[in-house]
Amino acid sequence: MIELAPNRKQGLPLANPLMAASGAIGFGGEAADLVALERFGALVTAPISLRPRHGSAPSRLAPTPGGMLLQTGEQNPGWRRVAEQHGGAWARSRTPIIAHIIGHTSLGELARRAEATRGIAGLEFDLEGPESLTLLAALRRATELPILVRLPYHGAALAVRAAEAGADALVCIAPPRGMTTLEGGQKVPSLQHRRADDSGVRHRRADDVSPSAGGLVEGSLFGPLVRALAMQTLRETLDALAAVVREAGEFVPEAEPPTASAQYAEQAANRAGRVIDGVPVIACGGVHSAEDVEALLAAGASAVMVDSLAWVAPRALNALLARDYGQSK
Amino acid sequence: MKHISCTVAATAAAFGARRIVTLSAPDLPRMRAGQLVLARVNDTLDPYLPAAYFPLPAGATPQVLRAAVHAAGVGVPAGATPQVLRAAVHAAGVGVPARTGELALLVEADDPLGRSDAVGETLELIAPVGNGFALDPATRRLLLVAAAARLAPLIALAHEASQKQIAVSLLVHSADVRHGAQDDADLAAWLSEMLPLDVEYQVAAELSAVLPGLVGWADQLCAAGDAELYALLKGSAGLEGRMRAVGGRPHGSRTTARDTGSVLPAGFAQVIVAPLMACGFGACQGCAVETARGMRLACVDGPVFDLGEL
Repeated sequence: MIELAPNRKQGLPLANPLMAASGAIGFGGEAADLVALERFGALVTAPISLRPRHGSAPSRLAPTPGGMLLQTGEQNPGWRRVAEQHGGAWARSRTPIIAHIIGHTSLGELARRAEATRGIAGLEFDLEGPESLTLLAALRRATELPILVRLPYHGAALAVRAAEAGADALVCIAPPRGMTTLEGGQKVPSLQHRRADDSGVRHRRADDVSPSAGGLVEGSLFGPLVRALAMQTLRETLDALAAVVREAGEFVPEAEPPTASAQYAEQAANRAGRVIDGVPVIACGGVHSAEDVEALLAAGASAVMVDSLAWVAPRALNALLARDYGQSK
Repeated sequence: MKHISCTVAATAAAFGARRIVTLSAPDLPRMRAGQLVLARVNDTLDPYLPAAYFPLPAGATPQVLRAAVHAAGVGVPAGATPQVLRAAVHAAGVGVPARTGELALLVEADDPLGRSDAVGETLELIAPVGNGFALDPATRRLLLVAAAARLAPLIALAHEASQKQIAVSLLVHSADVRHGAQDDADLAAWLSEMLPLDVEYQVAAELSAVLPGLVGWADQLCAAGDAELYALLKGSAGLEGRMRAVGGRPHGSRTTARDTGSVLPAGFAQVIVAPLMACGFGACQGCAVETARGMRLACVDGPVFDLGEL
């Protein structure tokens, strides 16, 4: 059994280190005909906001060599509709369901609704930068549910602060941004970099691309190459967490007898060490084979999330789910 | 929707450089015209996105016709054309048997499935994806309009409609495959092989002259093309005339005017919109289509949409 929230009373135990990343299986039941959902250690839902979001205008998908760019604008019908449509499946699921929540001022309300929903075992939240730490801290105050915090590529510098702000586990990484050139005639004018805001307003960037002449478009990058980026951030994150724990253990007051400020610093270091010691780190991105899973577990991941493989080759995903990876850490 | 493993059983020339690929797919579920399959050749992830195909009716291929004639014990000359074979099958009253476990795909010239050495290749399919065309029970005259490169679902629909004794007229826009008059002739010859005998068809490089009359004739319209074709359909003078004639409520159905400002009656004109797809089951949300009722996903809500809502 893998514990993803060791510092939380109810915990978040997983029977299998393979998890479905946010959106890989939709909100829960969409892939049930094709993917052996019950074999996952946990399922993370597609992003859910408090109010409906219309998402990005079409077209949303662009192929790249060995992968694809996707820009959905986090389309979803809002918590109430999602819970109406999928709440029954969540309640029946023997696999823990983790709700990926999005928004700013609405995160607390989303957390309260998630707590009141049967089957929801935890939350996932994207930490987009230092400015998101206050949102995370507020979310932590609003809920006792375990919180998984997804870091951006090269986001290891945020790892310690995220753990201090209340993350029970860290996820490396959110899909990185990518850009591709369209061939003339491909009509993909609205892949975009801005997310829909809380009001669900869509942002078009049709002026970025001339559909007839081709142009540059950007979106979230998926494909096997992302694994290398995920592994790098995973290692950096593990190193950053380990450094804090090590420093806390090695703390020596500068003065004898200790001054008040030195005592405070020692207490803070010890507290940080306790909080951060044992925070699980989950690898996410580019996983397409059993070798990928094993490599990420060997690199220190407590669990591994699968994303676009569920879309483009669900049968290959079932083969991954049929394997025994043992119990990491 | 399910996984299906299948094998390339045969490839044959279609029209232009396009080819028909016949797949042996024993577990294939019944598919409706307008539904599609997502296919991945072998186990490679290159290309990363699966390829989408609208199947042809397996019973429409010349090979199937020959088998049906043979099974019926009908004597036909060796080397008989598909038209002769189809007429023989029709005259014998045996019909073309439904070929379960087979799938025929119309593929582009550069599609790896169309290679002569593709026979024996294995594919993984997800099928059926999406919802097909819905023929109104009251329909007696069906107009099909297709870009030549996107013909396959309408050939399948022509077979479905023919079996229901619906008069069918197929108009093919050849501009996207046309290099000269010979291309139109090739396409017409191929259509004569693929379509039921009672389906009328014409190939035209320019639709605006023939469309109004046909739209006015039909009491349902189904199309497979691009945004330009659909704009042409929406603006068709024949459609406006028809609307005036029936008071805007054919089949007694509601109109979509309230939602879209269009006068198209709901269900009258159904068109295929199939953007790139990654998953086919609604998880990735990559195949969004903007409609008057909000954003819809082609893989679960389409790929057949009401033209009045686009």
